[in-house]
Amino acid sequence: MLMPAEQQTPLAMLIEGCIHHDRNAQRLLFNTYKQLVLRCVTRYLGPRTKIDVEDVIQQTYIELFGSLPLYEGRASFETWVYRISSSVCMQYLRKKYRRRVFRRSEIAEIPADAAALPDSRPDIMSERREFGRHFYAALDAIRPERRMVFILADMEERPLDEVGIITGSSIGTVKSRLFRARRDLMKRLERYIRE
Amino acid sequence: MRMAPACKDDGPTLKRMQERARNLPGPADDDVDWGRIEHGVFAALDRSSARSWQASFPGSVIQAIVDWRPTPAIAWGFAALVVCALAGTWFSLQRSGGARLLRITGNVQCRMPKAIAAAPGLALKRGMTFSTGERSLLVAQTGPGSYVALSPASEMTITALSRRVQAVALSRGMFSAQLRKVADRSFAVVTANAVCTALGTVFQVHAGVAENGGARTDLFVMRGAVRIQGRHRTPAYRVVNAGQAIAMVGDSLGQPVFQPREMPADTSIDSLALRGMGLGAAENVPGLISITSEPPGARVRVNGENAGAVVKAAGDSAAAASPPVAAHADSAMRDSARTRLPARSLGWDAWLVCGNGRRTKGRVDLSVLELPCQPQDNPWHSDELRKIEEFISATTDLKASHQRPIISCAGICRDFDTWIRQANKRGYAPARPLAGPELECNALDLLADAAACLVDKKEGDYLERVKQICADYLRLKFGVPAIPRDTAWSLAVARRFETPLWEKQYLDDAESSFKTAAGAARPSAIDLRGIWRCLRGMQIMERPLLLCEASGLPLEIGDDNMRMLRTYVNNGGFIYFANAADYGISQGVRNVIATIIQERLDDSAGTRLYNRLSREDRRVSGFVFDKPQPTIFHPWTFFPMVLPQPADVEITILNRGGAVVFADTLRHLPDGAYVQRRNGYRWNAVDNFNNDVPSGYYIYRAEAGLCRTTWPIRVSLLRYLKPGRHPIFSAAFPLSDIPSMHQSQPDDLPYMQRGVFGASINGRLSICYTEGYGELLILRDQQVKDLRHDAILRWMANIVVTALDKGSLARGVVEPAVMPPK
Repeated sequence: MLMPAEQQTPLAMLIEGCIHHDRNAQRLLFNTYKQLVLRCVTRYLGPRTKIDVEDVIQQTYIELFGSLPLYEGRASFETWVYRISSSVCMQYLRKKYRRRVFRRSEIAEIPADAAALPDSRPDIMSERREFGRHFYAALDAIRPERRMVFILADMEERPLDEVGIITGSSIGTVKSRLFRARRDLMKRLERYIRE
Repeated sequence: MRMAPACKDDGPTLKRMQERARNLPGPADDDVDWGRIEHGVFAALDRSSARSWQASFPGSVIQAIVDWRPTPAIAWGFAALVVCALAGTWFSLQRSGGARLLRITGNVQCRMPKAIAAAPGLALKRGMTFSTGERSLLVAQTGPGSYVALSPASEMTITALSRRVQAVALSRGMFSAQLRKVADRSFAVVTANAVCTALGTVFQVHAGVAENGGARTDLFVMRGAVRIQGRHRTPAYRVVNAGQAIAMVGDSLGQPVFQPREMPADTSIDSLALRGMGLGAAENVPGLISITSEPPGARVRVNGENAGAVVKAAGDSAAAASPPVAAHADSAMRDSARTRLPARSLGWDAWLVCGNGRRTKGRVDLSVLELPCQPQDNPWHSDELRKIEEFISATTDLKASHQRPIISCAGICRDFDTWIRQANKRGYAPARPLAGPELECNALDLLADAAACLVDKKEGDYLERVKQICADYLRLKFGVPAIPRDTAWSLAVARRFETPLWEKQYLDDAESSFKTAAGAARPSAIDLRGIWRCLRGMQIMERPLLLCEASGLPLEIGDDNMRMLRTYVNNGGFIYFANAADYGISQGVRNVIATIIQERLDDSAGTRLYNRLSREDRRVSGFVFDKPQPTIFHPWTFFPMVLPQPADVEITILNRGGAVVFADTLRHLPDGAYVQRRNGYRWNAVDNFNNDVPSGYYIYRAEAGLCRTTWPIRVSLLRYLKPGRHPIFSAAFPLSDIPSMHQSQPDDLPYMQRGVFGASINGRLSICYTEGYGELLILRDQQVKDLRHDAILRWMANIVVTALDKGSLARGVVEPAVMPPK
């Protein structure tokens, strides 16, 4: 439910503009949240082909703009965006269940502005790549709902109550899933980490 | 609000894992094509929100999108109404479907059975024909991740479109091409004159304004790994470096492109100018040489590989070709040196085609055509010709001496700089004659010098120097005045040349480990971590490793060391076993190689990477290209195939890098089953020059019509490598330069001569073993330390030499090799 114009915050005005097909507002909203969506999608889907990620991001935005009239403002808008992103990712994985495709170049790519030393040492980079490969393989193997909770809580460092809102679960369920996700991951990564 | 760790003991481990997971590099903004996403999002929003159509001026595109689903009769009645109301405007209907139009700019006409206009979102159907106006563009998505771009004044007809095999035909005037889906993101472009295909290849068809003003020039630009073939798919030119561009200039006078066989006998030289694309039009050479007008001043230069073209031409048109042409051509065919033929003046504007790809034996390929001009009338032209001549000469020399593919393409017109400017304006970066291989060699030398800074720990200076070198190189190569220095490319180059620094550190680690091992009182005190780090580092940097054992290679290597060697080799490392003695192949070498290789044999995962597409193709067209028999072979394998109809079958063998090793076309092969060894097609593991290919994985690709099948094959593991050229140190270090103090008797050796044996894993030589050179004697001789050092440097300039004199690899047990009975 949107407020009258004089009481609206910039975000609310932006949302209202998007609802009324104001292209400038839509573009502004698109640019504001694109980093967040990109991070969420890539974390959840893992290393995939660029086109897959782009398609999911595009679908996320389409869902987001289509669902804007339903946004009630009970949670923060960022949380709401997280929720839509996670739903689209879940749909994507459920609809076309594809195994992750690991390509060396897509894991732990060296940023263009990385300093020459010391993180660009070949062995460090290689180790990071290797960990990424093992980690995403293990992450892929655990249950989707646990995976989502782990990504949000441990990788994105969102508070647990917000994770509950994003996933539509109670806080107890979130804690339980997080515990199990950590346990599953540790079990799968134990050998690698101990080595 | 944080939870306790999963288990009490897992606390530190969990934290470490969480920390590392958070530190995994996130996605970069540049990795995603935000423009495409934004366009797709807003196009979808437009489609979902628009409930009315709007009119515009004739020639513009109207977004007439209906978001309701009428019956077909109502829909087409609606369409007819729109057309009646606004003649000359375009409208669109949203259709569902996998392939769709993504973007349209300007006036695009769509002719299809049941609709008359095109707009974004329109589903592509078989039979549709799109034509773009002079200032229009069209981008269509033909499948997930596959796009076709149609440039201005072009026409595209969709001839086939399916889930797996997508093909469209593209035509403009007499120029026609067929675009075929190869994989998710690649297309094969098949034209009458050229075929280019590779994963990740991007192609564009452009129309522009020619130098002579007003006329249209078709430039066919391809980036990525591109192979261009002749009219009958005869390999003529190949670009292996991603990012390189080729400009094929055709139809430069705005005239139709003639096929060679359609060319009338009295074709004037002007019409031959239309063949300016040259690279793929090698087969046009007979027509070219048969031209009757031979004004003085022009030269046709050929080399040994393409001399056959001239001979054929002379034979085809004996009356027209002068006898000296044929004579020189004959000598040129025998002599690999370049031969200058009698002068010919062609009387039209100069053009140059310089192609230096590998030639297929016996194929026609005109390397350089050099023209016609009157030097005294045009001093600039003379000067340019001289420069180009130097350039060609340098290119040839470099190719001969370094085996490096040199590719460049340049055109000459009255004002070369004008041509360059025009090409730059169109978005191309033509390689200039002066920016050829010399420039690259100079840049490489400068980079090697700059890398010396790293040894002195001056990383900042090093990065600055590399950036400057890269900027200078780009400026000279492409003639662009200002290039930003901080580019990802220059940093990548810098990282590549950092290798010596890491190499030095790893070698220091290994050396300290060796010293520790030598001084250790008991085997358990030996610390091999330095060696491990060294191995790992060398493996990452793809540096080879030389193993020299003081007492020869032992018959058995301990489990730990075997594991280390196996991991090293299986992950891409290279081991060189230097044999000290004169007897035959050591049993120890056999054991090591067999143990390492056997694991690779068992591990066949991933070898059927390419089969999904082939099965689909098989169903589509009825052709069957079965698995080669045997898959692991030496010296030959045969390719079973079933043809439902007579067809031209193209067989291509690619290496793991995607480069074509061998290509052959079976013309007009009758229909039938070729599934027996006696009537199947055999491949003798040779390339097109009849040289043995190195061991390793190869990809066999057979193609007939729209059917394409790919199978992995592997050449046998251990084989005798021909003397004369070392597979790794080929040009720089011929085998005859291997230092040897003690020449063995040929009778002592199994092949009666000295030799190098190799085993390849994953298509690359991973294990190498020399026999009969006695090189270890010189490496081990302490009396001639300087000579030893010099020998190592001479022979293995870029190879890490790690002498394991103390047997630290074979920890504990180092048994001397057993001499086999003579």
